Amino acid sequence: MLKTKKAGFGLPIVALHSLAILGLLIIFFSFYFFVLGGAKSQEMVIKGEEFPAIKKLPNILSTTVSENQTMQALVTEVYFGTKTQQELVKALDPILSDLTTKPIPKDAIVGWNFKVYTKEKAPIEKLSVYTTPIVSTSSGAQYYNEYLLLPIPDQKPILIELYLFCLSCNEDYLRGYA
Amino acid sequence: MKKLFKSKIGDVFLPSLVIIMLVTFVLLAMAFKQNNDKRAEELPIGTQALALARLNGEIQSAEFYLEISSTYIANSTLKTLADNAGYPTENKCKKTDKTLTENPYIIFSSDCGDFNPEENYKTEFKKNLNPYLTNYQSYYDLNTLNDPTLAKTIYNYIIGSYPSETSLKTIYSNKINSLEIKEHKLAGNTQLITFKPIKYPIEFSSEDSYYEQEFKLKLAAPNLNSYQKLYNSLVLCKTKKNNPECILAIKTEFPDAIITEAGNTLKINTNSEMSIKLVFDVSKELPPNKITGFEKE
Repeated sequence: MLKTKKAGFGLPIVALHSLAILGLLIIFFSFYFFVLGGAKSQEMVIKGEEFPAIKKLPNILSTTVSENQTMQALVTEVYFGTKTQQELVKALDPILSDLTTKPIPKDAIVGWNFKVYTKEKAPIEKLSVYTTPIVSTSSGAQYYNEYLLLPIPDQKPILIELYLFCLSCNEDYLRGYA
Repeated sequence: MKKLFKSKIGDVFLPSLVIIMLVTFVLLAMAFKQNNDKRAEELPIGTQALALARLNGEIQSAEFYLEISSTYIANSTLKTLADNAGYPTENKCKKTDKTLTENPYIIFSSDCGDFNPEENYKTEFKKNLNPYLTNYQSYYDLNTLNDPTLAKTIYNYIIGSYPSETSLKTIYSNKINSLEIKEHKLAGNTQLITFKPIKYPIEFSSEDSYYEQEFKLKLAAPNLNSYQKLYNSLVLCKTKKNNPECILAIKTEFPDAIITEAGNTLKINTNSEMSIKLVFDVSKELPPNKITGFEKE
């Protein structure tokens, strides 16, 4: 057969070793370029969740919660003990709940926490509000931490922290909260 | 073709093809790698714009702090002014002795110097603002990008020394800590406070790039008309030189005023919205009236 003029199969036999190397070469580089992503350009993507540019706290604290009283004034009154934490929870809860705009994924726990510290970051528990369900959050489950310093008359300011806690949430869910 | 593969040339062609392919693939892989390395050295488009947006958040926080502080300061300044007969805390007035129940009262006389509650309000406001400004602290967080270490290395290479989180926070804090009032206007129902412009350095920008911000606050103006009314009553007292008539003149303007007589002096607390406190001695000259900018009667 090799000697017949019509036979076209002589090629692999004659150059079998070269073809084998060529095959391996193509397989290797195909794997490198298309599977390992050697031909893929590095993504120049800025992720929204890494750049929470818009501050939520100034708006929350400027919200009017009752007649002629803003959230900031209420927080100050709770700080001085003229209003109770329950009143703060009542006023803050609907605002914080409104921040959770997306349907919560199955098996995930999502909520916004509003915590208050002294300027030196010592917690002031009476001023901290946790949206339901209350969970003990680990640092790994906190996103979009935002801080705002609130002045208090004749005293050192207090530090307010707002963050989204999200347990069992994926990146897609978190995106868009920035 | 068959001849080609059967010939010695054919024996050379395929191995050559393998070598050419190998070289091509390797060069291609190197080109992709080089391209990616080059892209990694670039900051994603918009990074500086986003840094600006984040700086805007920082400015928003500072503005909020200034606004709330100013509201408190306006109230406390009015009280200080009323307790000091329209003068700032640091004044040249003589005072009564301190008692167990009361703080000393200002003796309202020419010893105090010009009587200008508006200017005194501004002086006292500026003084009261300082502790609030000193207490300000920035909580700015640096952008992380996808690889903060890489971003910092590139920044150091391209632009210069990368501002560490601590240094930017310190710079931003200091900008507010040392903020100064450029202009304080009381006009009608509003007071407009303009601060001297601040130059904020921007993350991911060259060292000579700044974001200039001029904070402006608009607050409700203090009602200082009571001082003019009280002054007019005291002028009347000087002409009458008679305590009952003087008391009547004051009571006409301030019906709830608490006035205590002691010889030539009257201890006055207007007990009105502002509760201006002073001691008036009929035998002493009134301070020169420099009240401007609000209603005179």
